[in-house]
Amino acid sequence: MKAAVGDSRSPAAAIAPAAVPLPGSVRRRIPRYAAGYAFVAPVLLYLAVTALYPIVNVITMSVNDVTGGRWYFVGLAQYGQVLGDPVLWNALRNTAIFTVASTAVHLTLGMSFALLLHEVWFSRTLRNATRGALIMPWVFSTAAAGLMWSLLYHPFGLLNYVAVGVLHRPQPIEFLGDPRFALASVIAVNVWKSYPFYMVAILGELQAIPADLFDAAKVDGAGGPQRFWYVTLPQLRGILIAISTLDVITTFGHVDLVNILTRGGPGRATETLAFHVYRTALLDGNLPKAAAVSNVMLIVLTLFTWLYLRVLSRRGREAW
Amino acid sequence: MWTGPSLRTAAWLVLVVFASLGTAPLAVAAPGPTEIKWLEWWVNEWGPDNHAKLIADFQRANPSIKVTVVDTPYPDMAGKLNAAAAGNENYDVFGVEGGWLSGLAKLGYVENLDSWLAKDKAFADTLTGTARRRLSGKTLSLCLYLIPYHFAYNVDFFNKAQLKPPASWDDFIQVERRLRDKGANRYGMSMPLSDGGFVLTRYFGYRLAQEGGQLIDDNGKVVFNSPQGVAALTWWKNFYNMGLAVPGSMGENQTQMLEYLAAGQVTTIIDGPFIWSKAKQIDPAIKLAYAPPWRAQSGGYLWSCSGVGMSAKSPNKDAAWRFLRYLYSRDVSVAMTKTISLPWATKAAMDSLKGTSDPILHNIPLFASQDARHNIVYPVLPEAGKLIDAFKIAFQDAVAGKKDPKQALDEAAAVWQTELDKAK
Repeated sequence: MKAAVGDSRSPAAAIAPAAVPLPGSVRRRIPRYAAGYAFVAPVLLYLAVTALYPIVNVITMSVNDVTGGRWYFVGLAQYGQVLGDPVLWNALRNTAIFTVASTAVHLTLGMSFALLLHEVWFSRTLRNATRGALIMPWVFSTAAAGLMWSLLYHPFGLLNYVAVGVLHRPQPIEFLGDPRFALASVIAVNVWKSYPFYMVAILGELQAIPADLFDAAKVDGAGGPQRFWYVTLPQLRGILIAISTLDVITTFGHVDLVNILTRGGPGRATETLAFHVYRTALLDGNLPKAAAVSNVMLIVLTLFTWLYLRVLSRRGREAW
Repeated sequence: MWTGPSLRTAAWLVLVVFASLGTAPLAVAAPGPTEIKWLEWWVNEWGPDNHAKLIADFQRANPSIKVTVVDTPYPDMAGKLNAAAAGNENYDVFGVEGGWLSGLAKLGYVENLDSWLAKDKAFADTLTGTARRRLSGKTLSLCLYLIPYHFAYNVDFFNKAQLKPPASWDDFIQVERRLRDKGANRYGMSMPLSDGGFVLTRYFGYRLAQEGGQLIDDNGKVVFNSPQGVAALTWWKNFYNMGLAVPGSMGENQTQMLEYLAAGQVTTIIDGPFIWSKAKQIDPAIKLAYAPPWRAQSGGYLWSCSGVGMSAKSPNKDAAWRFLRYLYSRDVSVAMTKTISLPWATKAAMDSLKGTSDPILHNIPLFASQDARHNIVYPVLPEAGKLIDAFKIAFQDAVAGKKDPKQALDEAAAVWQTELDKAK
């Protein structure tokens, strides 16, 4: 016999108010887990509409081609073309550099500033003002940040004013126009824009570490670096894994800054996978190919994130 | 205790109110005007007042049609159109560049205008010979205004500096040298080489026509890697290495170029006739003029155009066609040519250029006739995005010295030929 409301075996029994029992025939027709499904149904529906449908749609699109508005099945032909295209591998390489460099510098800067702000300052006002100033880049929308930095990088902009006018360089530096500097310049803007997220998250976690741990470490004779390595870092492990995973995912799919600053150029020096998808779908109008690249991107990102989490958690178990 | 009307009475009242609300519109509804949506980027370029008058005049003459303008910044237009095509969003009439047509045609978004033109022969005869933009044997759009590319300059600046506009390519270099002021970090011109369309039309294609070359021959063979093509690319490579253009060309886009020009940071440009109306959006007082036509090995010019198309998915094709005809009518085409200095793609508009004193327009008939045999009409390309991108990379590689011009052009030509052959 199935457990019903009021049944002592039901976990809900302890907290559920006394309910009017349903007639026996109805009870038999509605399994006891139906209520659970009913509660999660809105979320499942939401996920189906916003995640599952687009994914299925993109997969369907990628195994088809279109001519004159008529779609027809081509199997894995799009994938064959995409994987044989050196443009994809260049975009993948750029994306890997962009993601790894951005995440690493975000982490380093965010951690450094968080530690700095966590220290006792001689003036609380100054510390709060510094904290406000450091958070400022996060407040900018990506479009505004991109525009601002494109003006700073401009051949007639502030940075080049200093380079030419003050440092007497014969030519302005082509921050966004020289393939040697362009990707680094875009990464710098991304770092500037997003490090406060790390800083705030790490600072919050730092403030939650019990002071006893540090006191105990001090009693055991641990110096500053040792306390950081053996107390602070293990305590921050959870938040570091969470935010860096989030960062990897968002940075991997970044389009806005590349679009505003370089549109993938010069040449293809800053063309990331996400921008490649954007260009193929919305500028070239080749939806099936863009869908295939999107799926490649999804697979790479899933593998990358899985590997990243695995390495971090293993290292955490071993070292922390 | 409830003392008002009974619940049943209230329910009846609610029912009657809803029933009357539901039937009232049916009883009084009269057929409203047919709405057509026009997606384009011209409101500011043509001036909001000119644009509003254009629409108002049409609606006055055609009270049964309402035109809803969806104005979009030019850089976003291609994306918006492709998204509309993918998402079955309808724009009955839309502004379109040749480079966007192939993607839209693949998605079945573009109406073949041949049957409309065949039914309306009198109208078709009013268009210039190059107005039809064809791909795979179909007319997918009509050029709205024609675009030859040439050297334009800031008239006030040149007068003040007592500079004469160049009359040849050698003069052009001399003028750029004079405009380069190292002390003031000033340059004569900027080259937005991050934009494939710019590279292909303003720089390479223009010089190619002047070298007597072509992009594609009459048999559909890609020939821009000819000796003339190599000469054209080598010329630009040498020019780039003279350091006379604003640094950062490889990362520069159209918007930046326009800002440089309107802000007076550069005073010359190679562009189409629309550049004046675009620059006026930023500096209404700016005065631009075209230099007189010049020649290298030939006197040909590259001609492109911006145009309009109709959606194949439009539920109001007749109304859309009426609007499209109106845009090319004698009155509109002559008035717009005169008002905004854009040579409309109608015979009447081209005739109206004779004897004009407009500093941009007055040289355009000469561009067309100076060496008509060597003019290049920029073609509608299949897989245009891919081809233009391949060409841009080739041009950048050659200019930056990464590849020999011949090798770079051969590689791009191979990509082009593959796609052209597929499209056959």
